[in-house]
Amino acid sequence: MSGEALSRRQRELLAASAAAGLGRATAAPDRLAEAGDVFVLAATAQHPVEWLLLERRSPSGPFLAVPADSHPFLGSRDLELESSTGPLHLRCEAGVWVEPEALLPDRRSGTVGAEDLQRARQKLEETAREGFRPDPFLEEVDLSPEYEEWMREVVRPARAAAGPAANVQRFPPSTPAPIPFARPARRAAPPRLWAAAAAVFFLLSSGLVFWTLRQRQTLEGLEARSRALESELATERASREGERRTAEAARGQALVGEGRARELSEQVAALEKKLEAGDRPWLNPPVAILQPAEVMRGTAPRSYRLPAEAPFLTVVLRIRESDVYPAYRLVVTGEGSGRVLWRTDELERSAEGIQVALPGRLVPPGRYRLSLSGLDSGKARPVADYELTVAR
Amino acid sequence: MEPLFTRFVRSLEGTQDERLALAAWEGLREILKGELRRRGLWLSPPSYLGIYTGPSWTGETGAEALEELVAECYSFIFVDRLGRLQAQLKAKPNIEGLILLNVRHFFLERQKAHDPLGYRVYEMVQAAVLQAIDGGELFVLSGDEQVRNQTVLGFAIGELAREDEVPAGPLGPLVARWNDELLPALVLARGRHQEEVWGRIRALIRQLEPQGVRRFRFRDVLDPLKSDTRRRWAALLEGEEETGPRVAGPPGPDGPVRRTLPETAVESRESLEKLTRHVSAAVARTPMDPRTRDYLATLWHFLKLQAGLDAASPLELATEGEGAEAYAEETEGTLSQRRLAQLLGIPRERLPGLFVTLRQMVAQAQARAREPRSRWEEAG
Repeated sequence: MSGEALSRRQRELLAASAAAGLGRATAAPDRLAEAGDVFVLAATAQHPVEWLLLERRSPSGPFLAVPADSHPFLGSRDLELESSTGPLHLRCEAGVWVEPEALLPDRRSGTVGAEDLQRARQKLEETAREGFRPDPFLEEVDLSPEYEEWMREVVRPARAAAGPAANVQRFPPSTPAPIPFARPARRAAPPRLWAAAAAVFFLLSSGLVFWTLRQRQTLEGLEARSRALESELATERASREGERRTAEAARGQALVGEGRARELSEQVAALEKKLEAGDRPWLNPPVAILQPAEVMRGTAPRSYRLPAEAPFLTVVLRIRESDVYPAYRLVVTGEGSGRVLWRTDELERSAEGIQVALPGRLVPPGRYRLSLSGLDSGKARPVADYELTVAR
Repeated sequence: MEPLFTRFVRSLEGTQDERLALAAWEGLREILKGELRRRGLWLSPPSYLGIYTGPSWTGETGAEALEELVAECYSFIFVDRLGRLQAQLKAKPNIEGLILLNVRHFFLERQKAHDPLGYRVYEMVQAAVLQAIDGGELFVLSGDEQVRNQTVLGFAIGELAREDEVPAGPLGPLVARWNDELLPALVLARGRHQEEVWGRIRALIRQLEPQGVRRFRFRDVLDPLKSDTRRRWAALLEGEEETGPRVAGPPGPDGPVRRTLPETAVESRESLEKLTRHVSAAVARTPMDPRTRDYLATLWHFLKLQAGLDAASPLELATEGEGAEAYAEETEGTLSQRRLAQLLGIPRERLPGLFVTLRQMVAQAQARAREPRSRWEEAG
């Protein structure tokens, strides 16, 4: 559209836009929501997603909905379909239950046909029934950082936002098994048994047969595991009893038994000594208080003596007042080799700074780099770098 | 007053406003120029984005190329995705941010389709760098933490860095040698094998520090690796002195203008990605052993790459009924099936059968393309 007037091509494109826009304007009759409708939810307005209603639990109950967007990448769990207002990319891993009150008639943004709706249901059922199975033709997208970022920054937050704000319940199969070869999640929480039990309860009540069957299999597996554990326990008891009897028999064998008894006695004494030592104050423990390397630049490096008998070197990392994070990551690397010796994401700030006691065997004499990052919302932000020199 | 694009999208529900349309067009052109520079594409051939009206964005044909890009992007946003924008307007006061997001998506789609090698290298290096950051081996010193071209990375935190302070010069020759050990897996690895390549890239990045590189811009590593990959890939696929069935190879690394993909019923309407989903669905419907399925996926991955590189691509081999031999005899700059089998790790004797199967799958996709729109998209 260079110059003052529109070119022929510009006019054609504008006409195409207008035709699409006009179609949209006339495609939203004022009626109650039903399966096949696409809605924008107020609760997820900050995310560029819409929600396709797949089915309803009961005539007045919530709708099962999946988020849809226009990001061009489609992975193994996604589906492309055509709505009355253009193509939609469905993210079938992120379904939710949406209460009808959240579906305002003037927020309806389109509809999909019965055939496409059926395809979407099938895809969701497949995902729930089979878990995540990467499609060899699409796994390139599954592993794409761009795609992963979109799912992490847009789709999953939208699903989370849809929950409480719209009074929806999480659709159970929304968290499939992780991709075995995917980039490691930045912070993953371990599964909890109570959560599984809660999920089972919810699923049984949701009426999703395929999910129920899956959970039943899980329960059967747990029962089998329980039986196996009981069996192992009984075997262990029998084994212990056998050992006790063997020990009693051995006690009768004086020549062999005396030496062994003395050895055991010495071990017990050593253990008792260690226990007593634990009750006494530990004198002169080695402590290294470190300032960031950028602060120390230009000064002679100081070395910290760590006696061979000292079990730990306590390190205090000084940080700026403004570097406040819910948690901190520390990475200890060997100077020169660059090898990561140890790392943790579980440090917390104290009034003195960041404190950690490093086992003596982790830091034999040598030079080390300690890299500290702040962790917030799963992202690591550099805080400071420290140099540590250990001597005997 | 509402911002420009918000007003324009609202206006499309009513009477056409040509002056507003003109302003939106010009606004879009400025955004695209900025994005071309931000992505380091301003000095690359427009063909990397599927624009074939000239060899560069500047000079005599530059303006024409840019207008072509604006037209393509306008269609992507204000025709194909207009429904999505209007939907969001129901819940948002303005959609200016969404326009920028859509521009980014437009570039993603175009780069992946028309510069598949460059995009592949970008994704592989980005994934490796993100892993290295997670592992505490690298740190983001400035710029986007998701790692973009201008992101400054370093081996130690605490060093203040600005994007314009990082020297780019000496890294090129160092990085170009990486492909001695990265190719061809850098381009061809799929699934869990990609993880192995990421590990190798991480190891190579770690070796920069002992060579005196304490910090670098992401693009300082990416650009030389992309260039070298294009050069070596072209050399890798150049014709061999061998008789027998052949498949097409790409043109030179930085050829001025590449031709468009052959027109087929599917490709003229839809993207190669959509065709991929069709083929995937067709393969899923067909009973076959997992190894054959994997061979087909590997071969298709290769064909897709080549489709973005050359008009006379192996995709034609799959879509045309002439057969590999007849096709290959007419094609210059070819790759023997023996070499292809070596590259892809597929037994040579399986290749003809795999090509036949893929041709059938594509034919099915073409047949579906002739059906009504709602019926033919069975892939997923």
